[in-house]
Amino acid sequence: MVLVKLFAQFRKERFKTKEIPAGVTALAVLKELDITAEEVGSCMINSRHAELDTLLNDGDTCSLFPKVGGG
Amino acid sequence: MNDIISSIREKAEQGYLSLSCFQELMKIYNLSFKELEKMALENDVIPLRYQRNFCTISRENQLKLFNSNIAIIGCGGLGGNISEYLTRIGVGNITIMDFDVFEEHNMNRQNFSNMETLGKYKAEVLKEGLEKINPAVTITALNEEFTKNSKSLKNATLVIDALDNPDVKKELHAFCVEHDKQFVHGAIAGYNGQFLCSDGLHRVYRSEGKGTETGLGNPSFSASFAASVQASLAIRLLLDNEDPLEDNILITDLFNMEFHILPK
Repeated sequence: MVLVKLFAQFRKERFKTKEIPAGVTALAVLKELDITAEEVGSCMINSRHAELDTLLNDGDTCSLFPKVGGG
Repeated sequence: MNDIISSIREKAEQGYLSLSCFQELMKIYNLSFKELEKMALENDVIPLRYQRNFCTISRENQLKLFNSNIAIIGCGGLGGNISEYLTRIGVGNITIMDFDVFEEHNMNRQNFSNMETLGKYKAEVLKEGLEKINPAVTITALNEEFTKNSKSLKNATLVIDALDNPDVKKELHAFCVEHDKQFVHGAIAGYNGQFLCSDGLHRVYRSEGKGTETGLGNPSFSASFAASVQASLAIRLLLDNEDPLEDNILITDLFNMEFHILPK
C-alpha cells in the first residue's frame, strides 16, 4: 500500500491521509482526485522531491502540496 | 564635526535622541535627517524612534541596518507590508519596484491602497508613505517591470521577491544568482504561504504558469503574515549573513495552522 498525504486546500472534500494500492504514479493519483498537475507545487515521495510520473511502490509515502505563487 | 557630535551626545537622554532634538540639531548644523541619523548612530546614540528595536536589534546592528541597501520587487500585498516593516526597523536604503497602479481589487490586503491612492503608481505611493514613516531612509521608487537586464538594482546586496508571478520569480532568482545578491522568496495563495532563501524554486514551481492563488485569492492576513516572515528572513541575512531556513523551504498553512519544512 501507498500512503497519500494531501496538504492545504487539496484536503477539502477529499482527505488528509489515505492508503491506496501500490503500482500507480503520483499523476494517476492526482487524476483520480480531480487535481491537475498544474495545481501541484511540490510532490514528495518518502520526504524527497519527486516527479509526478514516479511509480509509487509498496510502503511509499506520497505528499502533495499546492502551487503557491501570489504576492 | 566634533561640535555636532558633542551636541548629539549632550541632547541625548539615556542614549536616545528624540525627534524634537533631531529637528533642532538639523537646523543648527544645516544637516539632513539622514546625515544627522548617521552621525548619531556612528557615535553610539540611537534615535528614540528605534528605542523599541532594542535589544532585539543591538546598537551596532542598528548602524548595520542603516548602512544596508536592499530591493523589494513588487509593491502589492507582500511588498507593501515588507517595505513598511523594513522602513520602520531602520534599513537605510530601499529600492521598490512595480510597474502597476493600485486597483480596487488590491484593497482587501495591500496596506498602501486606499480611496486616495487608487489609480496611482504603487511604487510612488509607497515612497511617499515610507518617507513619512522614516525620513532617514532613502527610498528609490521605480515604476517599471522587473527584467533580467534590469540595471536599477545594482546597489542592492539583498533582493526580496514580492512578485505575484512564479515565472518572473524564477527570473528574479536567476538574476540574484548571476549578480551575487542575497535572495528572499515569499508567495501566498489563500491561507497558504511558502518561503526560501536558497535555490529551491524549481522544487515548488515544477511547471510554468500561475499558482492556485488564481482560484483562492489572497486574504489580508496571509499577505501580512508572509511579509513578516520575509522581513525576518531579510533581517537575519543582513545582520548575521545566515539563512535560518538552512537552505530548506518553509510551507505554511494558516487554515490548518500547519508549518512544514521541506528540503530544497
